[in-house]
Amino acid sequence: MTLVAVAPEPDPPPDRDPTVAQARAGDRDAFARLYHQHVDGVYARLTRLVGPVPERDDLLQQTFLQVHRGLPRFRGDASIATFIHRVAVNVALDHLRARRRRPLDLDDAAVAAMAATATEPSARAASRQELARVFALLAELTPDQRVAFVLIAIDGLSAREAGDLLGVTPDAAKQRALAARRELLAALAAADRPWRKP
Amino acid sequence: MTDDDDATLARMLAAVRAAPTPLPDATRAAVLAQVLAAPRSTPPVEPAVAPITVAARRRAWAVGAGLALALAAGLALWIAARPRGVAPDDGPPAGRGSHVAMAGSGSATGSGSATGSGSATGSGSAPGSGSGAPMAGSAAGSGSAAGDPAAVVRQLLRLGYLELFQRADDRAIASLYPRAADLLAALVADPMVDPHARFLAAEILFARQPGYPAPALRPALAEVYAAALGHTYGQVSDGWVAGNGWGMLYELDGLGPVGEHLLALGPAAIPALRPLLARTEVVLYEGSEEATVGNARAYRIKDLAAYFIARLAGRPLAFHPAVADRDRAIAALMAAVP
Repeated sequence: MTLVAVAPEPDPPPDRDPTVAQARAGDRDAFARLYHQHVDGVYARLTRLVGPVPERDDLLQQTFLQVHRGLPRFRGDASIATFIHRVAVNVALDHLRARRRRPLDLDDAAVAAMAATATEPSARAASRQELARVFALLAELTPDQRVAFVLIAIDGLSAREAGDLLGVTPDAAKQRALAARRELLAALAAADRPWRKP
Repeated sequence: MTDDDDATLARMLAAVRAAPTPLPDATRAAVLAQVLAAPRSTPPVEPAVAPITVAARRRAWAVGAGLALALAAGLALWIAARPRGVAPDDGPPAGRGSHVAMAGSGSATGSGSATGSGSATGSGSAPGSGSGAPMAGSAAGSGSAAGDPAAVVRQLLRLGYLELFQRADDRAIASLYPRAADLLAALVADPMVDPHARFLAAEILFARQPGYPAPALRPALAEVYAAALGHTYGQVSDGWVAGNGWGMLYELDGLGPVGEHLLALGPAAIPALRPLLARTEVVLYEGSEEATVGNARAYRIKDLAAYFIARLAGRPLAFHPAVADRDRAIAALMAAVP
């Protein structure tokens, strides 16, 4: 499986980033600058983690609310991007745990927006179907497995980076992703050959 | 499973990876406005320098006097506990009398004067013999508290559940575990220690020690978790856990981490939960979606307690929107639970 690294751009250390320092001190304009720097990346990550679901906007808001409240305790041991994405990953995990065993509810318009790169209408329709199928398959995974898998297999993070965002060891992150992959392949196999289902 | 499946999965993942995720401008602006409008509810790490008021001076004097008394009592204990023959003068009988009184007020002061556990209970008993307020309210504790039980208690209370478990990193926990692991275990087991600190210490041990707790500790932990459940109606900023920690309960079937820990205590936890069936305060859920769903249900503390009793007893209990129906269901449950 080809992995493409789409990790956030590394930030300068916070002691040399005046925007972070100003935002920590309560400067609203500085926080707004931080927000605009990171909001697209966070939104994209949340979308991949939880799917194009209607609650994404709420999760985005929750993420930045927690970042806003947590900034005074941000001591710069990690980059500000890592700090923000850790929050986003935790928000996504909480959401997935709360939604577990409920029917998947994709936002059709959001799925269509994700499929918008295809030029032909038929290709766009196929792309929409494919995306809906992927997120339906991902929804069958446990939240821990799903998030680890998305971070490693889709976002292209290393096991160490994924573990860092998840607060687990690299090995644990890798094991979760591998277990998720096995589940997904089994689901694909069962879907392709339904007569072989037990 | 075939190579085709592998290729299909790779193609599907590539499709997700390549898919754009445009954020509408209206959402971008609205989210920022909402975030900036919300207060930064958590206090700053370092307390701001406040004007010294008369009341503050009095409090400071009282805390200082309390510390001095505690030190004097500790010194008296140490002198009294020294083996005969080591000290030329064992002191007057009155000194030993005060030692006995102190040991009586601290449940396990004499359980091991030279061990970490003994020192933990000793300091836990100090506020009990005077007042618990200095331990809970002092801002002196920070950073290197690993060997000082009073400082560990202060640090736990200062951090609260929010800072310990709901932040993006685990630095708060790392400041206490594993350095103060033995001390945390001693605090959990000591009934003289503030139940809030015991709860937070137990949560750390649940999070970090596989197999925690030992069966013998479960009844004591049940009291601690019942105390935590009884404090689930205030703001999270008070340092206890919000409803989210217990879970989205009943048919929502979304047990939270704290709820899982309570269930792990087994049926022995039921007696500690019974008194909560008289508590009608409404449980607070925080966040976005969970707050919407959880707060809309207006669970009372007794509803949560009944849910956990039902789970622990292996009995069915349905949620009813009407409070009267809930109470009837809870009464029926408790009639069936021995």
